[in-house]
Amino acid sequence: MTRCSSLDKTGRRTAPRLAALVVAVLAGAGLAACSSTATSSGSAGKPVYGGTLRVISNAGPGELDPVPTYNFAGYELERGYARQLISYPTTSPATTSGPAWTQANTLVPDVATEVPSAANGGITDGGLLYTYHIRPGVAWNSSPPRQVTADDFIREFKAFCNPTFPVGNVTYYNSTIAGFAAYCTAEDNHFSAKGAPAATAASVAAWQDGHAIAGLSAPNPLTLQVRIMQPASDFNNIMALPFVSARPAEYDRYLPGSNQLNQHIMSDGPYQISSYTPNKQIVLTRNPAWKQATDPLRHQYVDKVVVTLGTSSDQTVLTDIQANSEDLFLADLGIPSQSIAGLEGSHDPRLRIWPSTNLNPYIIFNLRSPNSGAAMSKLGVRQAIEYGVDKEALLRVEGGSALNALLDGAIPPGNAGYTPANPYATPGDAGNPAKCKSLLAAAGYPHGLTLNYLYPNDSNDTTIFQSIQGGLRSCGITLVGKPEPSGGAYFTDLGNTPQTNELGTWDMATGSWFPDWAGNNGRTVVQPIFQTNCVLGTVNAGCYSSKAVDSLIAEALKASSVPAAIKLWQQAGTDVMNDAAIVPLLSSKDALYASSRVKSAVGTANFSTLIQGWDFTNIWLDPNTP
Amino acid sequence: MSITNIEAQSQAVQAAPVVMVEGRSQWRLTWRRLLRDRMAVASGIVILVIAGLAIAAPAFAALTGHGQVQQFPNTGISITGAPTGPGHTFWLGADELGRDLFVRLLYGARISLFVGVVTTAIGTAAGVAVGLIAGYFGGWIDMALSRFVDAVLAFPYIMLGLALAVVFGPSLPMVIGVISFFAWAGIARVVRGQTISIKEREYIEAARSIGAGPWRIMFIEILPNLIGPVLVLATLSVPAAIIFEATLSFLGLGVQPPTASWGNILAGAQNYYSVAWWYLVFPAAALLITTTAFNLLGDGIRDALDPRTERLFASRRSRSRPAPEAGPPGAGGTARAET
Repeated sequence: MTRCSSLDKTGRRTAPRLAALVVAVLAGAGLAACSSTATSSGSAGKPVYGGTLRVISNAGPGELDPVPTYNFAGYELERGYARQLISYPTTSPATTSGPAWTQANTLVPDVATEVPSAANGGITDGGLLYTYHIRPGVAWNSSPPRQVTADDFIREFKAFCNPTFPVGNVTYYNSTIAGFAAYCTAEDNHFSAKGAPAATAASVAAWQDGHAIAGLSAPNPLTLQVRIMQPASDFNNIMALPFVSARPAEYDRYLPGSNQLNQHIMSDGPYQISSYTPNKQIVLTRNPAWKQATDPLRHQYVDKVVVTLGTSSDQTVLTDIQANSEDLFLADLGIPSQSIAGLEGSHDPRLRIWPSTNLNPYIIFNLRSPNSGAAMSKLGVRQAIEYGVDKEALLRVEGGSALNALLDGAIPPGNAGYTPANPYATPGDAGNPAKCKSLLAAAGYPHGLTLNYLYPNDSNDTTIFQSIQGGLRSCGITLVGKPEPSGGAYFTDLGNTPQTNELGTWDMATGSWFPDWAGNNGRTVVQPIFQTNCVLGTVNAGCYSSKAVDSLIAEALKASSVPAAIKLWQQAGTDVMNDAAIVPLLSSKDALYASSRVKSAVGTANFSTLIQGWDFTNIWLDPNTP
Repeated sequence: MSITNIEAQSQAVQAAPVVMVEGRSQWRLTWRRLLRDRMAVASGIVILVIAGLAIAAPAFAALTGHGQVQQFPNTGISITGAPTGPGHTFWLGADELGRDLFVRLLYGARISLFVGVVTTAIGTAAGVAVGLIAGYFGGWIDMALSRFVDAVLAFPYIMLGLALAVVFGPSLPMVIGVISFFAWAGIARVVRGQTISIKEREYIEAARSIGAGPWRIMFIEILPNLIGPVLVLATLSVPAAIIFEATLSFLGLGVQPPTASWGNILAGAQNYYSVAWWYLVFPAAALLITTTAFNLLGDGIRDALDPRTERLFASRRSRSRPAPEAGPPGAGGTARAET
């Protein structure tokens, strides 16, 4: 996910809107880890119905429309009111390997009756046609309740390229679904042409209703067929993203993502939006049209979910939850990372640390910088830096191994293509200044060199920069810090590729990357970061380009099987590290904290790798805890 | 006081032995008064100690083996990232990167004192010049300069700092420039008022009548009479500049890491105060003590320059005179005896 969410030092999972860019940092840390043994605050027990779940949030998701929503806070709420054809189960993985992790990232049916596969006849025509059968009884909370149909999903796809508030990440769809790119281009041309009609709810709906996406069809109301352009072993993962929620016809009355639509959100899940007061409160109550028998993933334990917006202090979050005056926090908040060691030490059962698959942080090299004799374009210099960075020091600074995993390769654990190989191993991961110096000398810099380092000016990123700076100083590399506001100039300079790259505005930068899904996910890790794509707003901000890697990516994307794809992703990751395109540093874990009232089938351990947070549709409240 | 009392005092004076009174300059008298102000003396000593420590920062770095930017991840922070507390290795504890807080505070003192002194010098020179010119020439020059002073005093300095940091990038020269830009205006306003008052005096008329030009009058005849209030203002502007620098650095607009300043140390401490009290307390205390010392010293200088000031001698009078016979404020004999 392009900065869909990330962790900062305080454990906050930032939720920038629809990021275009991906890099950036924030590292984080996150938080500490309970081991897999720290599971429940009171046991699983028998579910109890009733009560109000009190959730605290900073700004909330922004929009409630699944089309533009591209942040974890939004995903958490959508879990209650917007269902997908297929999805991921809510589980309790402690690490990024093993059966629990596999289960957490194995697709399961949601609105569809089964996950399409070649074996069940859901994938046919040489892997090009996916058929989804919609579960009868899944209904909108309309009056009277109305069956969710295939057309509701097609309507969602048609809204992806709307001119006012398009889908969070269109790349996945226009690179796979037949006719999708042409549809988007036509819609864009229609509304951007000279003399084009204004984009109103009516004009947008009329255009979308009057045009079809060639690859989408509904042979009958309960069957959706999707034709893709070439085989893609991860297409079901793409279909499981929350963008692909059913969209009722009533939404045509409003512009996508608009405030008006926010006030008229419908539900096919167990909860419905009862009220939404921007910047103040979102209230979800039980959806009377929802039936447990039609939903294998969710439940309707609590009566009501009240999301209170406007809290920005992590310390307040912790204090309120410890006092049981709040139960959970959305992904736009966190708890102070400095408090986590104490919580861990006291074996606080309300704390839970989840594994993550992110690159957060990593170092990006501007391979086109002319500075210091175009040092960044020289493999020897980049490899010297790989050896020079003291990752162990950074790990400690960011809260230790309980909160972070130290990375050796370009593809973090839990992602397709991960390999434990460490091509730039140093003693204790503390850097090897001697090796760094010798490589620098061989590259023509016997007396070291000075480089510009771009980083966001928040406190955690400043700390990360200083830690990296301190490590590289020992091998003669002087990093001159260039702090910029994380939401403004930082993205401007880092994302304004290739202009700023060739000007040498920066030589190195802190980046972070959060995959949109785990498992078979090279499309959301390797492709965006390492495929040749030196254009404005690229995720590949350093303008890394390798024909060999590009070829591997192209092959992996159309691999017919997951094992075949993974093998190709692995090779791509190896090539990237041999080229020293980035310096992978850490993968920050995700710390959640819940009041002692919160129970679930796995105690307080209730997590979705998709939404990187609590799934409140699987939570009940202990009636004996005030 | 009765006639009888006056006669008695007169007789006592006549009967007293003749004592030679040593002539003392204005500055010597001021210095003597300042030395009698214990608070001012203590403040001066504190400032000297801090300045001495700042100068000796490299020596302390060598003594401890901890450089200003040197990180000690194995001893300065725990495996969970918690800074090490005060002790034998790190006298005042470590920061979040495992750097020695004591050494960084000393280097931070260099920045703070340097910024305070340099910006005060720049601001004072500019303020005196503008105030003298505006006050002496009057007319449209006074009008233009005074309105400019008003504009500067009304300008939101944080906004200017933000804007400049965005355009030019945060740096120490930028900080000095911003602080200096705001430091001169207050001084200029005071100097202007004093100049307007002094230029009407007879000796200025006399100087003018014997052909002295305006620049000579301003800088030879008027300026020496302004040194007292200017000195007080300058002393008081140093702590203001230190706070200003700390504020800008705290906001990330000033001195950039890894160079230490008290402001950016405090900025780093804000996430750790709950687990590393030393990280917040020591730099905050350094800032508080230094600025308080400068303020108290400024007060002391002001009192010493103004013999009519009551505060300095009030306690002595109260001890030397029976309360019922104490005269009105400022009428005591002690002050006259000094002059």
